[in-house]
Amino acid sequence: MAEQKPREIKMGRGARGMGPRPKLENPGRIFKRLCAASFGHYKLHMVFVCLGIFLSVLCTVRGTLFMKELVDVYILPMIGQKDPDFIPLRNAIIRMVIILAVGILSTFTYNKLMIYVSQGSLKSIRTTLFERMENLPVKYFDTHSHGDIMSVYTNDVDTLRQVISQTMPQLLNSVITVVSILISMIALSLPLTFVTLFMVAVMLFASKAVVSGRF
Amino acid sequence: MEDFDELNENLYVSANNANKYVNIMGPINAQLGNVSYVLVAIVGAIFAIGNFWGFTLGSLASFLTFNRNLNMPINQISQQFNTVVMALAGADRVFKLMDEEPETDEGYVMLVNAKKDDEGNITESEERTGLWAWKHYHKAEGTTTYVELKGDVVFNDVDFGYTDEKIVLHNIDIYATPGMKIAFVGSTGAGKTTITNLINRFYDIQDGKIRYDGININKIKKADLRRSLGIVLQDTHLFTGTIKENIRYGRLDATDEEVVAAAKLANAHSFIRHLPLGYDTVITGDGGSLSQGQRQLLAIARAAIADPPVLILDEATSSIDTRTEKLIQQGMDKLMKGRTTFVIAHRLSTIKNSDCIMVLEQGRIIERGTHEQLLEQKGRYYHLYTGNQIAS
Repeated sequence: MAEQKPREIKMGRGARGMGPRPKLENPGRIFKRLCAASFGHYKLHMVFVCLGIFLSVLCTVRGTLFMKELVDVYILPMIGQKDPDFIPLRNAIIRMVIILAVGILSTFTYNKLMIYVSQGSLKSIRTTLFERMENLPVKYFDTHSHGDIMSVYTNDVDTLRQVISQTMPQLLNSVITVVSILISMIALSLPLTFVTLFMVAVMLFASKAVVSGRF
Repeated sequence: MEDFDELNENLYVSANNANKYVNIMGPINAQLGNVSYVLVAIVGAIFAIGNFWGFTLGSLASFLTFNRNLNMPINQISQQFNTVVMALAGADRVFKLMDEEPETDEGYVMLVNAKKDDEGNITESEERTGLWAWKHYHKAEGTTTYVELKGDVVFNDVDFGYTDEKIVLHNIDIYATPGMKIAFVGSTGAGKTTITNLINRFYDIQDGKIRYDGININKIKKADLRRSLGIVLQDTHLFTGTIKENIRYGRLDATDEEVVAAAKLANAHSFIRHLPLGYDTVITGDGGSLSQGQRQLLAIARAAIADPPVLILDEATSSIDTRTEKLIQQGMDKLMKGRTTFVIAHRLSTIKNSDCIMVLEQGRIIERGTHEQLLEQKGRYYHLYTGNQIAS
């Protein structure tokens, strides 16, 4: 919601006197085409990226779940013991270190892969754009301002770069995170999950209220 | 300046509003998150103490962390989703540009190397002969005729408008035989440049016919048509490369000797020799280090090396030093010898020796003739030439 107003400016680039910004017709179709253009040549890479995201999230969640294990099995029972046996704890910690290391590695790997994918696909988009542009009739350049044409190359393609390389994987990451956290929460305690979800609903409602209240 | 101020002001107001929102929502969400944490802590503690549903202290520890970690992704999701939607707008523009219709070309007549046999019949030849012909395939009869490339351009009652509603050129008739020099004069916006845009089919006409060597130019392949035309305009676009390469752009298979010969014809040879590396001097991006006059000389050299039968000259009116201007004029004169030339003229000296001067006004040819004939008429041309008012 925070991006509503800036979006208005960015899209209505010809808005020196033009009315409301043009609505995006059929965003679904554009999205599909964008995915095809960005990931089409890199299907194998994307499989690994998705795997990496999954692994990264699962390792993180497993790390948080360890807290329960740590407190319930390794701390509480040993309080007041004269000579606690820390060997199992040591083993558990080593296990967790390995799992978290796998998580870190996955994050690093999928980010690296995404840079490769996004730069490559942007290069091919730019090349296609230029090749097609060279074949356009003179009429096109007489009717469209040079600034607008240039802006497609610089502004729009750069926005695409950011979205392809960062935002889309982050979005996937967030969604998987939310789902796995919810599952873990439900496994731990259903009633408490309801409490949490209730507060989440309150927060979302507050956001909507501020948006409609202000604007 | 005011336009920019207005745009700037709009941006400021909108960005301000957006930032206001973000700055309010941030703390609000954070506080609600804290409330959630405390709530869960209290209820969870009750559960843990009473050991309801097998809930232990450890469970609470994990759960609280999860609670904290849940809010961040949920907020981020809506932000990330918005970013993606914004990018879709950009992607839309990118795809629109990609999908633009390329220049169509229904032409089928091609320019080929030709040789003449003893009776004067023209046939296609494999090697470069220096003789060119139009290869015209007649679909109806299934035969191919060859027409020699001479540079004969005819405009037959041509009407043209950039849009169909607004016609800017009316009833244009031009008969240019090979070697003729035709000058166009007229006030700004009368249509001079438009006519030259029509010859090479940058735009297609609404009515009438344009014929090149007797063939309707609509039938000629655009690439081949443009190859047979030489254009020297007011702006020369140079690219990063050596001077030799820039001149060779006029004809890619030219030899080094031909490049030098073209430069000599264009009077560019002397200034090139004075450059640090001569012909191998590298010019960077659009030739910033060369003067306007020098760039024009290079443009003339490019046209010279292409050796086209038809030449289109748009004379530069920008300020060039007189010495270079003289060189340019000499270069252009040498270039024009023997070619059909269409000159958009501003300098009287160029106009004077034209075979036909066309005076354009609002898209119509109002006077035509040689310099002497037009002076006798004492019409618009006389007015332009002498700067005198015509006694009515």
